[in-house]
Amino acid sequence: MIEAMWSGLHQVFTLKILGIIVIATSIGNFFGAVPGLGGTIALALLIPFVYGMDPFPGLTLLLAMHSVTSTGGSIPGILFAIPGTGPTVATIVDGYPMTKKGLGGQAMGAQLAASAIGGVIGAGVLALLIPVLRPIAIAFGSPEVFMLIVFGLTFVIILSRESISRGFMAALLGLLLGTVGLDPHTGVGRYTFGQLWLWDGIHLASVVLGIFAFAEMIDLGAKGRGGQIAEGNVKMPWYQLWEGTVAVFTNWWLSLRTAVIGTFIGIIPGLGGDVATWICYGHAVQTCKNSENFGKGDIRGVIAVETANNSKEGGALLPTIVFGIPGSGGMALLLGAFLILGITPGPQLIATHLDLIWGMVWVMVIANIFAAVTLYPLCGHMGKLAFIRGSLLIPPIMVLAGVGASLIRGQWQDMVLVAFTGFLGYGMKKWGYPRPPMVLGFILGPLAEDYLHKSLAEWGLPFLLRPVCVTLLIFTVLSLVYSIYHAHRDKKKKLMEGG
Amino acid sequence: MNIKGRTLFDMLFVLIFAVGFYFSAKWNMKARLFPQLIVLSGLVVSIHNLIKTAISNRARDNDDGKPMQSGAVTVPSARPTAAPKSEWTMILWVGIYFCMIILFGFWVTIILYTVFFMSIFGRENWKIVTIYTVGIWLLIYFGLSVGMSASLYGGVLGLTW
Repeated sequence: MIEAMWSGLHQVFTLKILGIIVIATSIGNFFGAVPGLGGTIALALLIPFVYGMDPFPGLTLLLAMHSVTSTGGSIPGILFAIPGTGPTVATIVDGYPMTKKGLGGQAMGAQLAASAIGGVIGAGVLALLIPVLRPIAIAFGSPEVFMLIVFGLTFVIILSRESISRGFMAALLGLLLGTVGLDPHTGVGRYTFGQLWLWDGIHLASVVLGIFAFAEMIDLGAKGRGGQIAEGNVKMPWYQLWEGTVAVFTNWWLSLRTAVIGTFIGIIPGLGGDVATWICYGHAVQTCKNSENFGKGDIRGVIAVETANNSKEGGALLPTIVFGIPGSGGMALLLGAFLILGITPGPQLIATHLDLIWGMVWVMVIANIFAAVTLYPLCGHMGKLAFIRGSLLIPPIMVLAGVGASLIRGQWQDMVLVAFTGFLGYGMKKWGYPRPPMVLGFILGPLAEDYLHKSLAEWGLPFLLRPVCVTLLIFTVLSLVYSIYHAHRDKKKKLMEGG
Repeated sequence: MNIKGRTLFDMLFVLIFAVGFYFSAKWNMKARLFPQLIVLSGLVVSIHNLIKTAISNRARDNDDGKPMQSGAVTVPSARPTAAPKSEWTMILWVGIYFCMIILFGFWVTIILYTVFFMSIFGRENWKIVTIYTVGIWLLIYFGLSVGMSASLYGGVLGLTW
């Protein structure tokens, strides 16, 4: 094992591989930062370029690029409430309010440090878990994954303490939008209204860009020509980046917990990064003291999400290389690239090419640190954009978001959808409907339905009595009761304070 | 009772779930199981929420500006919003943006929208407008069209680059 570890390190520390990591992380940061692009599109575009490359450099290019897209993806989310990638939606919940308070530098410092640490821990856990993965992966069948998703849905309450009923409505609307399209189990067109373009369903980017990016631009424009994202006329000082970075270390226990949770969620195939970030956010809200500021600009919300966001890539790589089961959409593409490069993932790979796996671990570690370090000097300048007046900020952001929405499928109907979700998002913002639960419902809905049908087909209703399911069910009930109790207590406290 | 914006928005949710239920009734059992679970729960919660809002509105009307009783149902206060006029103006600008994309496609919309928005809404200096418009257009052109060979939507008129 130690020999393989050193051999992997030796492979990475060559000028060629380090050069590839530098190029790959720059590409990854760019693709992450542009809304609507993300790591999966970047992988799809780069795979043709690895044809004819040696296996390890080819793998390095793709893996380093893919593992850092979330690092760059959070920057537009924190600054403009435009999520660069899907999992970074959760970063907006606290990151954007921090920017509005003039604390964008802290949010970005925390985001970069947490991303780097999360990525390193994710890679470390990947390395440690390789020998013990098999029993863990086998323990999670469809019923367990379904129950884990139900557990994830209970975070709706955590995300909507201001109004639980409105939070539920938003989540249910998200779940409903998630059912649009051809039902994968029966082939029935649901809510397609005879429209061919709806057969593939609604894309996540259409929902997210609408309810966050366009809704925020309407809000910014409604302040008039002089309106700006951040209140006041504060410049973004460098010390804020430092304070944000330090906060990750002062909250080391939270960082460690969410990184490890994120890695474990990443291991479970099909769940993906969105679930990891939301579960870790919910975990932070439930376990941190003085949680009333979550959702209003609490740095711990950013730390929890960002550590999970990068650590889950290490987890997702685990089933991909050990069983050939991709842990996420991006990993499915990476699996294809493995085969193109002549590497066949599976137990045989561990037996014969452990040094290659360790090489991948080192690539992830270096890429995550490098991506964060290179973004530090840039994001300080980018943060100043939050203080630019709306009339200068709205056109480029709307263009970028519009182009991002159109790149998904290239259909004009997606523009109509984004406009609809944009107006809906503004209405939700204005009338006190929390928006994150809608995204959570939209992401988890199709997964929940799929695993529910699989569980019912395999086990019938008694699938709920499987030991892991019962444990998760207990956790779900406890989480619900605890959250509702907290929400009522907070409301009562507010009423008391108001006299 | 005054029908307020919030009540109308609450009613929109009831309507969405009701329409969702109506259409789902036509599908087979397996296809409708999950959507009906959602819409039925949605109808219950949204009707409950609508009633809660109506009661809250009535209580406010009756109180005639007095502070609410501690036992009254509370509705989260909407954040301080901008003047309705500028709000509708911005909604209109966003609507225009999408209409322009659908009609002219991105390459023309980027130019027209940036120029019109910055000149009319922002009352910006023509030099800034020109620099901004050219800058955004070139960024999209080199970043996406040249760099990634991405083909942007050309609109109903098919104005592709």
